[in-house]
Amino acid sequence: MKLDLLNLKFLLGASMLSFVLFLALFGSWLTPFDPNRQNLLASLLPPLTDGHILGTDHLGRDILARIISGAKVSLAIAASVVLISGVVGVLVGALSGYLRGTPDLITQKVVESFWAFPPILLAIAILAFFGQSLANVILALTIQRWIPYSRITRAQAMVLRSLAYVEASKVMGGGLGWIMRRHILPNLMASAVIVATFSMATAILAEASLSFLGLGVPPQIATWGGMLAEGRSYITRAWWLAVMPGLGIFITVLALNLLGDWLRDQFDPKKNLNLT
Amino acid sequence: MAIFGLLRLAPGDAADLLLPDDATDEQVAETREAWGLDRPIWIQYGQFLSNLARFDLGESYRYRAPVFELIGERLPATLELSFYALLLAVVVAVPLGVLAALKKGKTVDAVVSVVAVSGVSAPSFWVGILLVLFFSGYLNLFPSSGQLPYGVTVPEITGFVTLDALLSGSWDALYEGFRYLALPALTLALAMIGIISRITRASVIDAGQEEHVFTAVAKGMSRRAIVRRHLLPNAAIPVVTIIGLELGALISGSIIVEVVFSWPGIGTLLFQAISVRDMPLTTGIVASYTIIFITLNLLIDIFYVFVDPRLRGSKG
Repeated sequence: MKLDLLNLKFLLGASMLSFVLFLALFGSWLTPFDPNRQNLLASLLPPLTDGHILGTDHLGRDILARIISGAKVSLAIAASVVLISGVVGVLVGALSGYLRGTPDLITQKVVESFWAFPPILLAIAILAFFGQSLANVILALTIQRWIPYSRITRAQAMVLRSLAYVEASKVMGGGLGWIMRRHILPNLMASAVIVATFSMATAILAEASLSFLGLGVPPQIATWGGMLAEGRSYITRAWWLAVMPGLGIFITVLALNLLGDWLRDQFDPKKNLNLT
Repeated sequence: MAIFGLLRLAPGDAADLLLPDDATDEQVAETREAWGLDRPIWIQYGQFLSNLARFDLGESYRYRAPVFELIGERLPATLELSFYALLLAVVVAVPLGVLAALKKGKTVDAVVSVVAVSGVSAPSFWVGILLVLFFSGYLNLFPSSGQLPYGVTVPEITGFVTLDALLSGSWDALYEGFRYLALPALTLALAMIGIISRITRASVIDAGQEEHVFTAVAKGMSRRAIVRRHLLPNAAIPVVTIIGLELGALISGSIIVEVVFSWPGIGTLLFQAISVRDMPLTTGIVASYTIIFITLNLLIDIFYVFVDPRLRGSKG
């Protein structure tokens, strides 16, 4: 097998992501420590002391255990955000691209008004006004994230609707639901998956940023961003408090970006046309 | 032709200009009552707009001062930081992208692409902390927070520290100002460098596929001249577009970077306002960010006309 940059991206991305997923799913059996158990006698221990592989924080909680429990939270939030925004975005995009006319006009206006906000600001505003809860974090992260899906799928649906087999299906009495299910949606899946991969990466970053600002899920739940924010005050005495959870975010997001790149290159229609 | 060009660019923005204000208004007024998603309450909206037009954003609970003044005091620091970060990002990323495109498939290209994808993937608050650990903790080279050291002041002319220092000839303050800017600006720039260099690379490669480039090569034009005459001008438009799109990232990034480095801008102010539930101040800052964002987008659209001769149109 030729090991070029593209394959390398896939290998690196896939192995890092599997590693993170493995930790999130089975990690709690790997460490004997409870992520929320405090032990003030063992606070700020450096990595690799007394069985604490990544050390302990200011309250003596095991950092590895907290990173593992934070991984679950981060991945679960990001996955729900990506799923909800993907379904909404693809449906809106497919319908407005296929139907055109008034529905399209309305959705385009909605898209424009949501898009007029700088990305994380809208999320900050929602959480500041509605209060912090898991549901609100997911809402705050979803509210703009469906737009990229709808933009891409709308453009594709507009092309698809005039293809012969779609028109044929319509002429032969195919209803809207049938055409959507049979002809439009399956053709939109490839680009939706690509958008989803990148969107998962930005969702994890955004969730971490919100937690860092103290606007994420309630503070008693361990999150990577929240750990980083707490660790910041101890940065001169105990660097691992802030560095380790950041590394977790970095590896996960990097893995997703690499996979997204790889996927995009795989499906790139330009690649097949480019004969030069 | 020129008017047509501008009109063509305008519709999206006209809608943007109207809608976000009502969306903000709805966050402001409606959220407390009900979940009225996208429908503005026209009377409230009108009230909000008329207040906004008179620069009246209400009074901060905490500071007992008009929100508009509080924002005005802090805004220059935010704009200054963002300006230097964007400048740094463009100065580093565009040459990197061009280099990667010209050396496509070589080691340089691979290195640039690794740098780019890492830059995009690293959370800015983490990068900021790492930079502080290394440059202020370990090397003791740059300060880790604030805008100027205690005791150093500049006469306030424009509110922008480096510009004021330059205008008043206080070289010490200018030097200190840049030392304090170094880490936050670098942190903010790093995230953008990844994206800008990737787009630059892609658009230079695209521009290189055009026939007029092959003609130029066939004519025996020098490599340098081809890059300058044929590649860069054509690659500029997507690059400007992405810089425009990156303004959103710049704004949201600046909020976090300001908090990390205790930079006295409106991002830090927003953070403080939220943590003490100072609603008028929070609302005012969110509205200001949105207005800044829209204005910048409009400027970018106008800027296109200068970059892209096709939009300029000829007389007659």
